[in-house]
Amino acid sequence: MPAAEREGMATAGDNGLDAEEALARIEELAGEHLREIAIDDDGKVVIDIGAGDLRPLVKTLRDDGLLSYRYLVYITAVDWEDHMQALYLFRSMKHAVQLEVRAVLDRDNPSIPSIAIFYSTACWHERETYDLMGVMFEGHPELTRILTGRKEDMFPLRKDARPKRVQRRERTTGLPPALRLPGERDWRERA
Amino acid sequence: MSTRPKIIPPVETKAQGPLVSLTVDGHEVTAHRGETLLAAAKRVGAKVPHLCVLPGVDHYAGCRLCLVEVEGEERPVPACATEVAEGMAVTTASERLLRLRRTNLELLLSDHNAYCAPPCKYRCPTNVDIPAFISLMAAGDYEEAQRVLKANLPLPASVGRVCPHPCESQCRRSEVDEPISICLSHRFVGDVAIQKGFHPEEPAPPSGKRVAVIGAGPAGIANAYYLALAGHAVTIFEALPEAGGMLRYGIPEYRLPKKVLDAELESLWKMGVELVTNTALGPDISIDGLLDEQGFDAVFLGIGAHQSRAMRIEGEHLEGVMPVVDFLRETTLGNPPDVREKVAVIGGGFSAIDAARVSLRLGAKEVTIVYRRTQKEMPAHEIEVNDAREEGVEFVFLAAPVKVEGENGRVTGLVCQKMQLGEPDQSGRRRPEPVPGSEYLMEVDTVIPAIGQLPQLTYGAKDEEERNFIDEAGGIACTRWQTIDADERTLQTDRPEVFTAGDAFTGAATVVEAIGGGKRAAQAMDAFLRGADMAAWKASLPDEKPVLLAIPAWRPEPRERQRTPMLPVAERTGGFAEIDKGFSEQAARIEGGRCLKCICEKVESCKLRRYSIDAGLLREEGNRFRGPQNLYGRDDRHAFIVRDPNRCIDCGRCVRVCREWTGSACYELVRRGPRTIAGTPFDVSLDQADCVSCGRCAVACPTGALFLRRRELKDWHLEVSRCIFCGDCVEVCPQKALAVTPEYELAVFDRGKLGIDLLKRARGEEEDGFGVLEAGLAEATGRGNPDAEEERKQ
Amino acid sequence: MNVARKKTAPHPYVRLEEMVLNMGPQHPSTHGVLRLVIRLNGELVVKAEPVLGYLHRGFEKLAENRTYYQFLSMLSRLDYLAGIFMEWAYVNCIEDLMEIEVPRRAEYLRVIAGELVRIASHQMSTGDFLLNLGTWTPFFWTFRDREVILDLLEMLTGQRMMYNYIRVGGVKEDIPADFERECRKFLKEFPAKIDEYEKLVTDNEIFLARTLGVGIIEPHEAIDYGLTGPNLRASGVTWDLRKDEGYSAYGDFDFGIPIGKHGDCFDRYKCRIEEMRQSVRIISEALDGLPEGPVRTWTPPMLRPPAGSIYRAVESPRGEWGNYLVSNGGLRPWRVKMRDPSFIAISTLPRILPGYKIADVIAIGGSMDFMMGAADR
Repeated sequence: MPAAEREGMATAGDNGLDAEEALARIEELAGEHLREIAIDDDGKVVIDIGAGDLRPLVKTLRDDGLLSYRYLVYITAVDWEDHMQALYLFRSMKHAVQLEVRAVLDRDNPSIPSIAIFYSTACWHERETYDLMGVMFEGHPELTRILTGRKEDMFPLRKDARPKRVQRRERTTGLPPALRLPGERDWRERA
Repeated sequence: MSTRPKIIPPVETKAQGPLVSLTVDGHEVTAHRGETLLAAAKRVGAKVPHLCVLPGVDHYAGCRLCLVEVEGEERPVPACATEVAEGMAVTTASERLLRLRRTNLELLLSDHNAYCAPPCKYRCPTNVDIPAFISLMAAGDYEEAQRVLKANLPLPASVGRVCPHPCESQCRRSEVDEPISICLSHRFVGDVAIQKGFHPEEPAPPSGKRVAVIGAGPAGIANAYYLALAGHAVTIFEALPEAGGMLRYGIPEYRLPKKVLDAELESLWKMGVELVTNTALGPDISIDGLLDEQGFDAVFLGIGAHQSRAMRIEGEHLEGVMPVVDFLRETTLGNPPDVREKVAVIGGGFSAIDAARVSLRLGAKEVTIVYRRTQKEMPAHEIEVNDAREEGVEFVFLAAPVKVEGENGRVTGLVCQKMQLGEPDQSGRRRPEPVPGSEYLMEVDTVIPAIGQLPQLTYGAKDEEERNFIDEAGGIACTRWQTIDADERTLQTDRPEVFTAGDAFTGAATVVEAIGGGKRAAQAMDAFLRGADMAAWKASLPDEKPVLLAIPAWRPEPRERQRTPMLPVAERTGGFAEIDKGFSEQAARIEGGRCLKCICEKVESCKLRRYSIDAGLLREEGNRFRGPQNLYGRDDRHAFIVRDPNRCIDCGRCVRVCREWTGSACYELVRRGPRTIAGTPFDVSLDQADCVSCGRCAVACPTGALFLRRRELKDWHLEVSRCIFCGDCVEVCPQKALAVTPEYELAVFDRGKLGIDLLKRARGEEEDGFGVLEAGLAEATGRGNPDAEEERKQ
Repeated sequence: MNVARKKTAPHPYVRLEEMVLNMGPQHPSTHGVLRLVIRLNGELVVKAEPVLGYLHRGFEKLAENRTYYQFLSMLSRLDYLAGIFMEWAYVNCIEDLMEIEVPRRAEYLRVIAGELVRIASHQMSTGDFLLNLGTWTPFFWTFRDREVILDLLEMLTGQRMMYNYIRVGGVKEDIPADFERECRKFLKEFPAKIDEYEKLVTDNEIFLARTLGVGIIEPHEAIDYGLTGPNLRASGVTWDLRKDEGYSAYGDFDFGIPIGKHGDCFDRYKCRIEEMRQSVRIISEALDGLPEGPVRTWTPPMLRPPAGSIYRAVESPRGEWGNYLVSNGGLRPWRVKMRDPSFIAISTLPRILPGYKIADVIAIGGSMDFMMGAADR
């Protein structure tokens, strides 16, 4: 973290962990759950896992004193057309190394365990991901639609979701001519 | 996880790195380290040709034209890819470099498969736009085709029957199989124009000037046509009873039916040109009289060459000896001379052949053409000679007349002497020398000398004194060949208001040359009548000779020429029916499809052409290389960016400009080896690639492989209810078609950024769009079009 | 003065019926089209469930069908009170993927614009908060002064609200001639205005009774809930992206971050007020040190970031606004995920609200300062 003046109470903390050390620690703690681990150009640690390994991995990393990944930034999914990819981003208040967790899911039946029990905020992120992408989060307390008002028919953000053709209505611009003052024009008619 | 390539913003690297000094061609120059030799050379003014350089992006060094020699280096290095270094001594032009450049250009041209300029058009004395009208004819658009033709040639149907078609001798198709039948094609278009009654062009508003054209021959007709189109009031004075000149009175009916000529002359009369016949210069009118008394503003002399050259032998004035001009004229006038049974025609030109064939039709049993050289040296076309032979004309070569034998004032025979060929004379043909003691007598009833024609510059009845009407006009000089003297380009005589063209100026020549002369004289006269300074006007004339490059012919499937149906030989000599029936519509369109279309839309701006001309790679010398023939079709699926990959030289500028300057990356160099070409992936149309139609690729292309089609924007529509007035469209448009107005009702400060004033050009507030694209590129990207800047500097 | 208010228990022997009350989506106090379905036991909230989606416009899907340049104009419509931050995060993503260097002057201008927007947004949210609590005067005062800022922003960017100012490679245009003068005038006068608001509101008894101890969020709770921005800092966690990630030119400036103690509505309000003061500091430092140079690096209009994914976040007035961009090397993004602080703030309501009275619901909602445009996307 860059040094800067801070007013107010104690800072969130900086235990000086850098990316290599974080990577080593993660491997040490949870190596059996990982498929791949690396540091990307951005300086964050990226982990590829299978769907089943998510819960134990996340719990370990959250509870570890050094890593302390207590802050879940987002949960989302990306539709790669032949598979789906679930993405998690974690932050720690103790150090500057972010953690990205990726899991490859089956495209027809994407499903991954829910981490709502570990992070309260995951509840709504998972609901949103389910709503837009159709990813089922097993063990979620209430997996319902949140942004769209749909039932289980379509997941809008999937690549094969097409909007329905909407019939355009004739557009009326501004006041009807009878109500306009002489010389007045609707601003949209300027062109 | 992913490699991220750097974007190099295309700005010139200025003030980067320390200065180094080096010499280019002996001149001292300083440059920043990191700059290329090309930039340094430009600063000194040395011209280093380059085709694949695009400023601001990585060099390709592919065209190998920018090679320069650096002292100490064994091989020349590409200037666009070599950085300057302290103390370098660079040479940009040496024997070796010129040879290398020439070889590279030759290699580029060896697979170019497209031609810059049509040799046919420039060989034609009237410069008809042959590729254009042939494509239109092949497409079936006859009205437009005849308009293209008549822009340069007012009598296509008539000329198409008589022209010796020098254009076909230049046709590039002859390098593949046979040349295109251009003459028959434009005859076809002319016939269709007559048959369908297409309207002639609308003449310009009347200018108030009056012009007198003397002579209604091809030169006079063309002159009158174009002057009338320019809005002048023209009156033609013709000595003979009808208009046409040699077209009517010199060319027989079986070659040019007079009703075709009459039908074509209608367009002239429809434009308001007046014809005064039976009025001869000299006896009836004079030049002074026309100019001073009758109030004409200019006079055109198209009096032709109607005086036959005399044989200067004994017995020339006997009855039965008729000069060819008179012979043909009388026949046309309806007084066919009595040729009796045996006819001898002296001479080897078109007139001689015509006279011989006409004699057959008038009833002669034996017709012989006597020519003093051999058939190879005859001016007449081989086709004509063969046609004459088929009809039964006999040929006697290497013989010349020495005396006409006669009895009771009538010809009985011709004494000829055998000749042999000696040294070549000034025309290049071998001079005939008489063989001593080889005289012999030919029994003939009629002798028609056809040994040449001269302009008739004197008048007067047979027993009166001959007066030279040209001299009388004062100030008009004549040459020693008995032609009127005038300026080559402006066709103006020494007397400013008097112009001349055609046979009167050049001596006896072809109809098409007369028409070309008449047209050029009309352009000069139009300038003169508008008060232009003739010297300045002459200087402003474009150079007529194009330069044709050494591009080897590309070889489509050979297809023979289309033939036309001809009258069977047996039926020909019975009367004067037309022999050649001309193309059918299907044949004309097939023939039009054979044209190689030797035109390039970018002929004026093509860098490859310019460098090739500088290197001297002309058609006459030929190209040493011939690579595998990669032939591509033209892609004109996009609305206005046309791709012709035949002309692509793989410089990669379009690829780079689309990727770096626009970002869409529509082009790639596809395929490998000699088949590499710049194209879209899977050869899709640009519409289906990510093209945003900015046009930068066409501007960047140094050849004609990519060019912009002229287009007219007719209608546009803005969905105002969806516009968010963000101004992005104004910012990215490279053509600056969109601008921003300050008229937005909520704008408090005068930033002028919220209203959009769309498509200024659609309102006609801007001129032609291509100049705008160049200016727009400069503004949009912060620096000028690199080529335009070069041009300006040079 | 009670600092901590205990949650009241239901009455022992009066039969109470639970009522389901539907607050919204059209409701003057829900800060947008938020629907709160509240189960009430008398005046006590038993259960609260927010229903979202009334302003869902499908931005993430729209992004997949537009080129990068086209989508940029749409971003300020998300959190429309602080639109410039959405552009900022998105543009940071593209610039970092393509490794485009932004000129220093442009970074400073981005900061100036951003901080002006932050002040305007805080004024709006404070005024609105107080309006919902029942006072009119602070609302008018903050809005009156907000107009000056909007005028400044219009001078800078041409727009009062949908700025479209931050572009890939820099900002759209350089500042006009009179901007600096007007801005400094504003900066000189504005701190006095903040003092005015505080004088009116901060010590007001009714205000204190309604906000002190209401809606307390413990620090560990706040982190667990994923809160960011003033909501998180009011709970006592020192976390501000401007300091901790130091993006853009924030490293050059000397400013403080207000941290609260208790995490109640009062602290959240106070954080915002203090942040306005700090923003004034940042802007005046930025104007003082504005470097010379270009304001935009040239980029081709058809941007084509290489294949890859990247997450960039900025500190918007409501918290951490993040943009996760997945590019497949084409002209259009493959996936754009926007991480919104208001979405998260609303997600905390079901946990915080039970036990408070209905009037506190308004206070808590107002102090959390969520924006439906961003939450629904």
